[in-house]
Amino acid sequence: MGNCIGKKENHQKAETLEKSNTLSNEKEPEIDFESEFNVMWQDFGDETKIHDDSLRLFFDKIEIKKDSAEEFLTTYILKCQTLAVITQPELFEYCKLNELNSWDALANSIQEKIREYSEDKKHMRLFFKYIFEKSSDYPKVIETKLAIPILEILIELFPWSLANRFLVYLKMYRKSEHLKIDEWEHIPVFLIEHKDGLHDYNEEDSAFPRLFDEFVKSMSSTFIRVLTHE
Amino acid sequence: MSDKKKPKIKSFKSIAKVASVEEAEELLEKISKAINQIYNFETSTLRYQEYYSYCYTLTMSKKEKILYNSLKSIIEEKTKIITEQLKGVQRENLLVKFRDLWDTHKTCTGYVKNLMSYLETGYIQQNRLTPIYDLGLITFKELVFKDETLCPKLNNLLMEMINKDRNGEVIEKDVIKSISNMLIEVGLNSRQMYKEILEDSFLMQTDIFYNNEAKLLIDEIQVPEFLKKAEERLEEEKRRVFAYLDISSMEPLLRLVDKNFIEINAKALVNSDSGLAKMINNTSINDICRMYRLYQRTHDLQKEIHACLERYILEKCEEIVKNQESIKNPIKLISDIIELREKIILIHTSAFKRDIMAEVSIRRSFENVFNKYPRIVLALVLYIDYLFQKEIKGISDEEIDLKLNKIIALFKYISDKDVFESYYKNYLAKRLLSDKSLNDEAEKSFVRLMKTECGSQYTSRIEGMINDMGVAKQDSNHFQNTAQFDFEVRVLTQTYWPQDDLQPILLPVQLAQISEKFTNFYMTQHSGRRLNWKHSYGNCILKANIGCEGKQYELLVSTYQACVLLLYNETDNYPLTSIISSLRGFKDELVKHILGLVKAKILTKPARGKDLPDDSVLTLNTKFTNKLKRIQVTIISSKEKEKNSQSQTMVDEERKHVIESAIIRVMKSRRELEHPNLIVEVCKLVSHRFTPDIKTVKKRIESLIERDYLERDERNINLYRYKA
Repeated sequence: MGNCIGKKENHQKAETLEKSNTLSNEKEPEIDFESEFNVMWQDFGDETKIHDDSLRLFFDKIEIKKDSAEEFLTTYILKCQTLAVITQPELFEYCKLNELNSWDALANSIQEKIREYSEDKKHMRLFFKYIFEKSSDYPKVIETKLAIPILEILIELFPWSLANRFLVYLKMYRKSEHLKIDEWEHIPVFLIEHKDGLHDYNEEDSAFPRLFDEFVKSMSSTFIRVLTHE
Repeated sequence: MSDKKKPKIKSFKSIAKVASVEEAEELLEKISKAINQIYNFETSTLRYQEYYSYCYTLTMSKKEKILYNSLKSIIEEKTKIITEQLKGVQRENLLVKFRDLWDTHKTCTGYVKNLMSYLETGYIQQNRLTPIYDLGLITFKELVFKDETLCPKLNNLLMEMINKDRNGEVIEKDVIKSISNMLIEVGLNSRQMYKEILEDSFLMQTDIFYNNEAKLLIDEIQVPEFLKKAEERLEEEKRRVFAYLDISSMEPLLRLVDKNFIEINAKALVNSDSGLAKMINNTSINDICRMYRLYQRTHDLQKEIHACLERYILEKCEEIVKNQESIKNPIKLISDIIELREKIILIHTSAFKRDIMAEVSIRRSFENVFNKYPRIVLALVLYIDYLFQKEIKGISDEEIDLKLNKIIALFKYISDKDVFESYYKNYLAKRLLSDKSLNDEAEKSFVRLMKTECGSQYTSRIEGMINDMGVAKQDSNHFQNTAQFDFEVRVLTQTYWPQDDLQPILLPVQLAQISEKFTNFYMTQHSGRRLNWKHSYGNCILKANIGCEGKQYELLVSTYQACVLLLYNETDNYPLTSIISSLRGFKDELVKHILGLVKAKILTKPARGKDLPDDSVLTLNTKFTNKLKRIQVTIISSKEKEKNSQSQTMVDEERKHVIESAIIRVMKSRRELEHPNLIVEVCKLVSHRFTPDIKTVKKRIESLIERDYLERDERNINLYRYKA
């Protein structure tokens, strides 16, 4: 993730930036937004890529936890070409489009979008599609061994019991080596649509891929129930 | 004319004089006297015209109100006398007396009405007062029927009489009829009196009577007898109404009989030991018909019969299917089902009068059985095979048609018609290729029947198979004539016939030459075609000198068996592996044919048992001997279960394509469609071949999405869009 050239120097640079930010917060002057960005991105070999440490600092500033589902969602919001890698032009483009000129404004904008997207089936479907495109080696399927760890991170976006049960089901019962893109894309849609329970899920009328029918069927299994209780 | 005086008509009013008070009192007195005379039946001296003028004079003198009131008083007085008379009558004579006094009262009131016609048409009508006749009836109702002792007495007597009648005793029905009419008449336009004094108590008494009777009878007599009794009681009650009750009592009365006899006992009657099942078993058409008729009288009661009929068919079918003999013999299984269906259809036609709901029940129960036991589908195909190979020998075309119609009736119950088609094609192929079908026309006729039921698409391949045989025979005859050689080949269109993966074997020189000759001949006849030889279906007559006696046998063997035996021209022992490599044949298929030779004792194998191990060495039986010169050598075919599972796999594979093509057809025309609608449309499209599983349809939709034929709408996952 990111470029590792000049890691030590970059770390020092990031510390300097943090200090300046703290100072500036005390005095409450107008932050030179673009110059701070430039500090983050400069002298790392590839000017468009941000360094890991700076990236951590960047997420701290916008109050997003690093290595979390929100981090992935942020890169989706910023329309980043590479998953969890933010380039300077991408960030600038976002700020320009949304007329953002301070850290607070950027943080607010992204967090607001995260909140909005987390409950929107269409956006979450597109987000999962984005994750699929950026992570799968195949055009129409994603390997289960890759899909499950990614889903373990993304599941935080769905803080209700059904989501965990679904993850348990995938881990235990998904025999096939792959998840089809159609199945993958519909995971968030299914979880959002049935966040209150599966009482209204009707296998025969439901257009969800069969993966979800099988999951719902297995919900009657004691094994799954016991596991999810634990 | 002008000279003559025109006659003058003096107005009646102008000549009438107005009466003084004394004169008016006198006139009133006269009228009262006349009315009394009427009630005393002394009417001979009364001149109606005279009383008409009295009434007129009184009216002119404005005394009409007094006249009307005085009339009212006289009628009341006379009715009071009637009441007293009735009270004094002995109980047993009360009904007759009632009738007589009522008749007298009516007649007298009628006379009074005539006598006072001027008052009636003038004063009474203008002031909308109660007409004189009605006044008589109302007074009778008020004074006689409101009497506290008289009414209960009358009611008791009536009930007593009706009860006697119901128990078969003789009663004076005309008297009761008169009383019944009186109660209706006295109420004028209301049935209230009839209801209060007669109908309510009568219906209550009837209810108790039939409730007790039905309770008693249901334990004592068999269901058919019970139903007969119910029908008799209904007829009796109808007669009773016509004899002495008002027609309006008919409906509630019969309803009570229906309720107590049938409605309350509906389930018990149907499910009793002597109930519907037994009646169907004994084909008691009349009893079933009676039951149906009686149940039909009450709304929604026939469903008990339909449910019982469904249960009966299911139970009987299961009995047949689970019968040990039927398990071994599919022909018996189907014969028994046909017999059962014929019986049910007879009952449906004669007893249920072709009732639609009963027909639905019959169809549903047979469909359930056919789909619960897929074995029946195979058995039906075997039955058809048996029919075309053996049973239709020597029977008339009409009889054949009758049999085919019975079969097609069962065919209609199959939901998975594609499974039937798959089995049918296998057995038809065998029949056609081995020339065992006794009647080509009957074969075609059956295909026509299937076509009518399922459409031309369903039978296109079967028709293709039959057509192929006709063309192939012509080609073969043509070749035989030119080649002067007894060699028949059937050229078949690959797509019509059951598929197998068997490749042609390496024929011995003798056979290879002639088959090459045929290939050349065929190519000259039909250019641009490719012949793929299916040796496993071939057979031939092989003349062989085997055994110790030096006798020449004619062996009726398969092409495979002939090829194997020809190898033994060089040596008496051949390892199985060498046979397979020499012929370049498929091992499992060759083994079936070799085991046939072993069974016929032409070849011997070292190990006992049904199997043929890979390292077996097969030896020509030099001690072979047989009384017959011509010997039929069979093929040890694979187990039926294996064959069927192969058929099922092929059917499943075929279904995938059928469902997918249906989805594409629907989506191509509709462009976008919601999930439930697509499922319904697809099920509708494929239902003539099979009932698709929703899961399978979903699976095919997913597969089409994966292959980019369809896509889901971004916002609505229920909406599919066709991607051209």
